[in-house]
Order: sequence, then structure tokens, then C-alpha cells
Amino acid sequence: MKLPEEVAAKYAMEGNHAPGEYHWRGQVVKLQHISLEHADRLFDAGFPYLVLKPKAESAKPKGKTAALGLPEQE
Amino acid sequence: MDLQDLLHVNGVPNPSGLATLHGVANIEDITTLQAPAAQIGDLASTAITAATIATAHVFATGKCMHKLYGTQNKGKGGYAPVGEVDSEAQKGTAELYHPGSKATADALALKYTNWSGLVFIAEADGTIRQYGSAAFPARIKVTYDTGTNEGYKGYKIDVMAYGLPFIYTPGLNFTPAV
Repeated sequence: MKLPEEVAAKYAMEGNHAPGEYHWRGQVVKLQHISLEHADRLFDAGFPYLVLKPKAESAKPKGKTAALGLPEQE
Repeated sequence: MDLQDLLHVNGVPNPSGLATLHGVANIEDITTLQAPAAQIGDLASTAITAATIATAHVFATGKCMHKLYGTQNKGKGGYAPVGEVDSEAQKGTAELYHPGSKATADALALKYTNWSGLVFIAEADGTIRQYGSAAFPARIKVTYDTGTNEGYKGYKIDVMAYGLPFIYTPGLNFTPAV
């Protein structure tokens, strides 16, 4: 089982836990079926089995001109 | 931890009794068995660090908790002090009632006869308590009774573990580890 694609783009499973059925604070959570909105709510509430993935680096590194607030030259 | 106020917020829901789905785990299936982060005798400890297990146990690949269903409004759990003055501690006990007359329950009754491990009891408000620890695993005793024609047929599952059944905040995990 896998996290839904939109959820997997933002979150990873903590440790060696797998997407599946967890019962947490009275909720039954089936991680293979949750929406990104649900995942966000769980994460914000402290759900321990989802961790944020590191944000991807910008594809184009900023040069000296960008650091100075000047427009990049082509 | 030092003494502190013990208050109750007016209007906070407080349903009694147990939920209907609980968890059972072999200690041998857990590669990293978590415990409260601090001990109550440590003055720097807090209620959270000394009386809850806040980090999820790490199960071996392919392992997780097993489900245990209990009929609503029949089971209960709790703990009480035991021991003599200057040697007191806690003993946790819970009882669940599982309906039916079935081979799986009979086989588990045999298995539990000389078994010890961890039992995770779900309370009505969603709180999970862990009965048993590495030092004092929980024991389970199963009694079968047909009941009367106006009674209850099924299994009474008694759980006992020395030590306070700590609140286990990560909840129940029914998905095998990878």
C-alpha cells in the first residue's frame, strides 16, 4: 500500500511505518486513502506517523544579481 | 515531578467505558520498545514525560499490533495501588468480552495460557493505554461461558499487568512495518 500521490508529494511515513490502518484519538485513519487536506489536518494535530518531506531546492539557483534585488541577465 | 494542581475544565466531554477495538502485541515483535521519557522521581519530569508514552514503538518488518474486539458496555479497564507502605506500586487490570464460540478464540485462549506481552486498551474517548511493559509484560486469561438463554455467550478476556498502564499517544497501529 502507498500514500495517495498528492499526499506522498508532501509527506513521508515516519520510520519503518507503512501506509495503512491506524487508530488515533478516536479516529480510524486509513493512510492509503486519505486526501491531502486530511493529511494536513492530521499532521497539524500531531499525528505521529506522517513527516514532512524536505522542500525541493529551487531548480534555478539565484545568482548575485538576484541577491542584490536586481533583475537576472539572460 | 513536583505536586501540581489537578483541575477539570467545565464542560469537557468525559465518556466512560471502553471503545470496541483494542490491540495486542508480542514484545518480541518490537525492535524499539518505547517508555515514558522520564521517571516520576526525576524532579525535572512533567506529567507528560513521566506518565505517557509519546513515541511509537518500532515493530520488526512485517509486524504490528493485532486487533481484539470487545463488546461495548461490558468491558472496563483501570489500575489500583498494590503493595505495602513504602513499597506501593500500581497494578493495571482490564476485562473485555468477546462474543461467539469460535476456533480462533479457543486457539488464542490456548496461546495466551503461557503468553505475556502488551495489550493496548482503547477507552471510549479515544485514549489508548498500554498494559504491560518490558519489565512486567501483561498476562491474559480467557474464560468461555455459554451464558443462559437470556444472557451473553462468549469469552471473558482478563488482562493484568503490574505497573501503571501508561497513556500511549501514538494510538493503535494495525499496519505491518516495512
